[in-house]
Amino acid sequence: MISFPKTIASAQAAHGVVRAGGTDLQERRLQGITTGDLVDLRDTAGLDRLELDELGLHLGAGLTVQTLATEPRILEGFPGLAQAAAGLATPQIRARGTLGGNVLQEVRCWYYRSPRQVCAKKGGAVCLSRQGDHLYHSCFDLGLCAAPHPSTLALALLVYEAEAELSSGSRLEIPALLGDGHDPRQTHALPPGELLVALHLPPAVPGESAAYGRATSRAQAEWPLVEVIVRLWIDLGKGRHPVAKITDARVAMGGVANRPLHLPLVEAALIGAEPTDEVLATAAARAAEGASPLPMTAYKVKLIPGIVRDVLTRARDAVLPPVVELPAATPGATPAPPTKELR
Amino acid sequence: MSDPVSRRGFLRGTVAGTAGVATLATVGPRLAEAASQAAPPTRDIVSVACTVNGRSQAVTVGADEPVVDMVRERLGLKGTKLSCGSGTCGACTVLVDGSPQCSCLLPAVALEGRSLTTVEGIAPQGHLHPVQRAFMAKDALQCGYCTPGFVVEASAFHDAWRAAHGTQEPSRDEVAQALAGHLCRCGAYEAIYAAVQAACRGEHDRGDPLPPRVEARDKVTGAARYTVDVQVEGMLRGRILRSPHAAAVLTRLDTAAAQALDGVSAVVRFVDDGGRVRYADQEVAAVAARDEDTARRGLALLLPEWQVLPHVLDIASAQAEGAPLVWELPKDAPSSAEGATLSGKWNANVRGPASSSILGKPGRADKKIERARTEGRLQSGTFQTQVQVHGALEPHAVIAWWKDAPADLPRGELPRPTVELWVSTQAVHDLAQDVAQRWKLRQQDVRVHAEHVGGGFGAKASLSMELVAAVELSRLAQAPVRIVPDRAEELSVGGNRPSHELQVEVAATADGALDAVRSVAHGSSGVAVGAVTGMIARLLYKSDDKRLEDYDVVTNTPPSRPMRGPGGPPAIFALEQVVDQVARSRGEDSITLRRRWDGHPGRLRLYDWIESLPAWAGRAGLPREGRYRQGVGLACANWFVFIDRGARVQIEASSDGIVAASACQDMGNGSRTVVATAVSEVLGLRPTDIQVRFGDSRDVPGVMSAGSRTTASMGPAATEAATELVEELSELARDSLGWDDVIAVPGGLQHGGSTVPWAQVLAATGPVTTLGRRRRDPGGYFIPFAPSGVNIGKDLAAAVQLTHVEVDTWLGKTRVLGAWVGLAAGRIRVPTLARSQVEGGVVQGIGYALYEERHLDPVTGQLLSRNMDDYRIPGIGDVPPIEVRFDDQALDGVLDGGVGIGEVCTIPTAASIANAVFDATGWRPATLPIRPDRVLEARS
Repeated sequence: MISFPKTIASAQAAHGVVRAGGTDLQERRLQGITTGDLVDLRDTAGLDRLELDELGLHLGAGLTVQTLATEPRILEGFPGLAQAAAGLATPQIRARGTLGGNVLQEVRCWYYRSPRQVCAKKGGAVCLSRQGDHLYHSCFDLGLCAAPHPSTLALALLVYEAEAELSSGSRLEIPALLGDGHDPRQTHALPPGELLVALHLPPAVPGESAAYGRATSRAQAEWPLVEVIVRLWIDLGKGRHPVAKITDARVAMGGVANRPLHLPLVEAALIGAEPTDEVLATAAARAAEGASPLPMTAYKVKLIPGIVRDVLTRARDAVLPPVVELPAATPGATPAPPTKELR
Repeated sequence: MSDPVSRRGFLRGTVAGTAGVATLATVGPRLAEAASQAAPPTRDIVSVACTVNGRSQAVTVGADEPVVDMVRERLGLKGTKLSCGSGTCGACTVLVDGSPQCSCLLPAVALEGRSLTTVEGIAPQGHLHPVQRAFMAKDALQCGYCTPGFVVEASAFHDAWRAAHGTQEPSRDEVAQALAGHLCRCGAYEAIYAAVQAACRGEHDRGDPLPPRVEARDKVTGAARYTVDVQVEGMLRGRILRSPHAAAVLTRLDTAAAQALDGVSAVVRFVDDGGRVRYADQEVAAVAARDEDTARRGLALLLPEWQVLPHVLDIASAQAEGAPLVWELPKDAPSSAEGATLSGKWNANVRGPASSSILGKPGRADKKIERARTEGRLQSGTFQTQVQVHGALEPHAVIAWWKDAPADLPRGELPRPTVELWVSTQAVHDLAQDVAQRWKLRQQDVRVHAEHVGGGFGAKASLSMELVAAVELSRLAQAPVRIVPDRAEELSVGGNRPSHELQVEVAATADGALDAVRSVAHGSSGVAVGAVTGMIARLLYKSDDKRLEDYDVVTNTPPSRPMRGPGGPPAIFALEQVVDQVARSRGEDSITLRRRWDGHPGRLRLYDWIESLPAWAGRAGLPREGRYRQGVGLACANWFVFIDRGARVQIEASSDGIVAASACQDMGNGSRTVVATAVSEVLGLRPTDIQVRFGDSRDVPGVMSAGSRTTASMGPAATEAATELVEELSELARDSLGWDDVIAVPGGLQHGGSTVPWAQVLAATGPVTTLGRRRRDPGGYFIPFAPSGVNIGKDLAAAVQLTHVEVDTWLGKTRVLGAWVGLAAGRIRVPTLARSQVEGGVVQGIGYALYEERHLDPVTGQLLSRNMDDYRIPGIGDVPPIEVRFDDQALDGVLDGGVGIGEVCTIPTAASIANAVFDATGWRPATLPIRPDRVLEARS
């Protein structure tokens, strides 16, 4: 059975699994992980709002990831969100996947995604990855399910202090929308019968420099080992020898726990400080504090300071480029890439 | 004692052969209701109105039906390919309102009111898009299975780019980002970069290029038909029931409910009640039904009962004291090797040692090694390499049609069944023979088709279980049965390269000569045996003083199949790193030492080239401190020369055209072009003037696409066929047509002062057929007989790779910045295609070195890396500029002067990268893949 509700109200009333882009859901359905009737939002009006007003940025849950990555108003005022959107998945997935679908998607854990394995998220008694292969799983052990939260946009919305608007009209902050992970079956805490309709971000704060980054093994198109998003405000200082100062910071990290983590310790180490390499490195190291790795994920604790520092550095360098001393040119010092043969 | 060696060694011993079909449960065929068309999926409940390639369509689709199925099955547009099914590989990419999307995940209902463009529609009928022309011109494809997806995506990128930037060239990064959602297992990325950049520069806006690869046009337009694209009237769909347990007894399997399901035509089983399974996903039974949905439902009604047994999954635990035995009777262990299996003794799960020190002096090597140890002249290391999966983008698809003899046979005629097969195989001719042998049929009663093959890499050289299942189901159902494994099945049982643990010791004399080598390896081919590395270690650095031993350690995991250079990458990963250490311990650079040890004349010349490269000359100045550390590493490998003198090429020439036919196949390695080139050279025509007919076992024998033998075997046979054609036509012209002073010239026959083109000659003479054989090589062979029908040449193909890497010490990430690969294999038959092969081999080597790894659940033994997100092969962004150099001084002892390069090019890559990582960081990677967590652990 499939229905195509025309309004949010009728979508909320319809029975079945909600399908937007389908880039996560369809893989699960075709594998038999998720079954049941379908509520397809293809014809549902009211999910593609994109407005900027004095209250902030209003994003319909049905907007595509690609739209978030390229919309000028988002690039301008909410650059971290745009970068996160541009940095996830692949061009084809971004063209189809939605904001709401990305936030509400299921974990990538290979036990969860395997039809034969009945893990805790599927109603089984134990989290199977713990006694099995959990190489890509959490290093902050915050709930029975050891799979990291899969949503890059949830990470971005967290750091932008967004609010979720549900079909009933009620609003949830991102931590409440995602839940605390106490029930392994729930990757998010959207109340039953509700639809995620829109995300609202508070107004842009001028002077923001943001960066998103993820640690992976390949160059592109790979689920993150750790992902980080940084928003910095830097006062460049005055006078003949200006001393820059970080006036505010928002930092969050994903890929490491069953929900994206806000990093107040990192922020505290940044705010008020001069954005030197040492300050950034010290702040980045604090991101790993409190980590509770699983036997196979201790390496992520080592990875965290590196990737946080990397993203902090990029956010800083965007407004405060490093002074580079050029070495004296030495012939052959930098090997040239292979000459491209004429094909 | 090893199993009796059949013509292809492993056939009799493979799991497919051993498991056999235990009980042909005479599940009576349902009354043969031949399903008439490609049966549509059930639950047709939504009608969709959309435009497809400019044409209005009203289609009825299922609620979950993906666009790829709608396009391929309902609309018959086969160009769009299904490969990964998870939106990762991009082979299924289509344009929705001009925007590239993955059709494997896109619900068909989403197309309501939209326009869909497939590869068939990106250019008007009969025309080509600039990107298609560019892909053809730059040879930006090999097997072609990923090509439609790339072409669709790149066409959208090109059109947007040109509108915004005119003919400004996009950077590699810009192209990589646009193509991030595409994977090419053949590794054609270098050429893909070149093609997209050239198209954007406006260089292919017009024209009708003659591509270096003769079938390229069919591949870039989606016209090429692979086994998955074949439609046979009345075709049933088969699915295989697989064991969920790594080791178990099947106590009971009740097939009654499955048999009784409406629409199920046949059920077969491969394991008896009380029989054993030895790896997760092992084939237990199979169902054929009128459509996919019914087949799945039938499968779900098969209810096996199991007694689960303890299992072992890796080399260490299989060797542990008291480990459960994988085979109670070790002689039952099948062979995974390409040729004969070396002999070895069994001790629980371990078999060996098998020695590769043929005619060598391993005892003397031991003494030399011990003396070197006490004198401080010994370098050693222990290395671990992982299971690598072949991962061809086209799965092991098969359609089998078993026809029993008709009831109304003429009197006195013996009833003989016939079997017709469409298979994604790299051995059309050999497979037909194997099928005939297995089912005791006559050769002429078996026919195998494989017009185009979407990659193989060694996984598709033998008769595998999905083919057995399809044949047995077809026999029962008396209807064609198609089985197409899904990606999880492919990644599980579709073939793998064994894992190894190697202990290598290399001693140098005080003067820096090679003193001795000892390599002791334990390898796991899963439940099979035959994981040999010593043979390849033997080929490099000639010396009698080598102890080279391999032990097979069986595990409850799927059997290996030969994978591109079997044994090579792991052997060289270990050996060449230890040799690197020897050089460093002596304060010498890698080339200086190797020049002394390496007898290969072609590679000695290639060292000159490497030394001339700025990457080598400037290596001292690379940054080796701070966050990003760079280094260069060198490694070499040799590979055998195999010649199959069974190669035959038949030319059928008429005024309609020149057809060169052979029961050979092209899986992207370019064999069609080799044959076309050889024939065209003799006739003075262009390769594209020759029509090559491959992929039908009815044609004269072709060779397997394996062992790097195809070019060297098929090329001379094609040349001979063409030479015979010229002679025969000349003779006919003189004798039958009465032409005076006939001379063969490029393009035709010259007589009476003018050249008559071949077509015209043939119009006058009538059709002519000739046969070319693969004659003996003038230089002879390594041994006088041909094991498994294949001669071993006296030469060795040689490769050397220099790699420049950067290690990001903050993130543990290794990036290849550049690769330079030298090949010495004699005369290169078709340089452009050979270069594509080499680039592809380097890409697979990068995957082996840095990313690829099969993950099994330690508790159940089931596959965890079930999709192309979790089994990580290189993407376009992982591929650096690759420079390929052929030292193509001809090998005089070999017909055509050259030998194969398909395998030797991938063997040294991982060792080269590892040596470069050591150069950059001072840490030697002993375990593959070189993952970020391993780099980070090493630094702390």
